[in-house]
Amino acid sequence: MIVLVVLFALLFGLAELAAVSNLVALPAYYELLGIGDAVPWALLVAGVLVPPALLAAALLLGRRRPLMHRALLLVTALAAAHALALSIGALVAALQPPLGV
Amino acid sequence: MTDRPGDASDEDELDAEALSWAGDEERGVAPPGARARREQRGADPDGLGEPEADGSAPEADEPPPPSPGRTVATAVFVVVYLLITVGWVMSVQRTASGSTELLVEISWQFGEFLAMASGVLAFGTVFSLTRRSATLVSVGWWLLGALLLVPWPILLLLYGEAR
Repeated sequence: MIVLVVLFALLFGLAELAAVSNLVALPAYYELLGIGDAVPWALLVAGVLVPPALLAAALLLGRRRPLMHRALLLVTALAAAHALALSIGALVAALQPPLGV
Repeated sequence: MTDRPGDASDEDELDAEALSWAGDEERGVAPPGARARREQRGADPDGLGEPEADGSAPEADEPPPPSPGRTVATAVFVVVYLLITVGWVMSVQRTASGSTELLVEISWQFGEFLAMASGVLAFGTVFSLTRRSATLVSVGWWLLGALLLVPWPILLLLYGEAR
C-alpha cells in the first residue's frame, strides 16, 4: 500500500509541478505582453489546488478498502486531475485578452 | 394460530428454511429472506461499497439484480460518459504542449492520455464501487464526475469557431 501511495503521490506531483509552473510563469508572461492586469488568478490557484484535493479525496474514499479499489480510485483521481488541468489551461487561454488592444 | 411473543423470529427461521434447499449454504446460495435483510441494511455513507473493518474485501456474494431505475440511469450515463470521452479525444487532437523539451512533452502526452481515459475510468469506478448502493448514490457520483470532466478545451474551440 505504501508503494502505491508513493507512486501516485509522485504522479500527482507531476501534475502539481505543471500547475505551480503556470502560477509562477504566467503572470510574468502576461506582464511582458502588457496585459498584467488580466492574470486569471482564480483559475491559476484552482489549478494548484486540484491535484492535492483529488489525491486527498481518493485516499479518504479508499480508506479500509481492498487494494484494487484504492488503486482504481487513485487512477481515476489522477486522470480527473489531468483532465481538469487541461480544462483550466483552455479556460485561461480563452480568457486571455487580445494582444495590442 | 398462536400470538406468543418471540414467535416472529421463529417464523423468520421457518420462512428461511422453507425458502431454501438442503445444501444451499455449501453452494453459497442465500435464501431470499437473508438477501432481503442484507439489502435492508442499506448503503454505506459514501456509497462506494461496504469496506470490511479489517480492510479485507467485502463479502463476495452476488450483487442484487439491477432495478429498472438503475438500468435506465446506467444507460443514460453510459451515453453521457461516451460523449465526454469523445470530447476529450477531440480536445487532445486539437491541443499541443507548445514545448520542445522532451520531459515536458512526455508529461503532456501522459496527461492527455489520462484525460482521454478519465471518462471511462470515472464511469467504471462508480459502476463497480456502488453496485451494492442505492441508485441515487450511483447517480450522484456519476453526475459529479460528469460535471468535473466536461471537455472544456473542445467546447471552447467549437464556441470560438462558431463566433
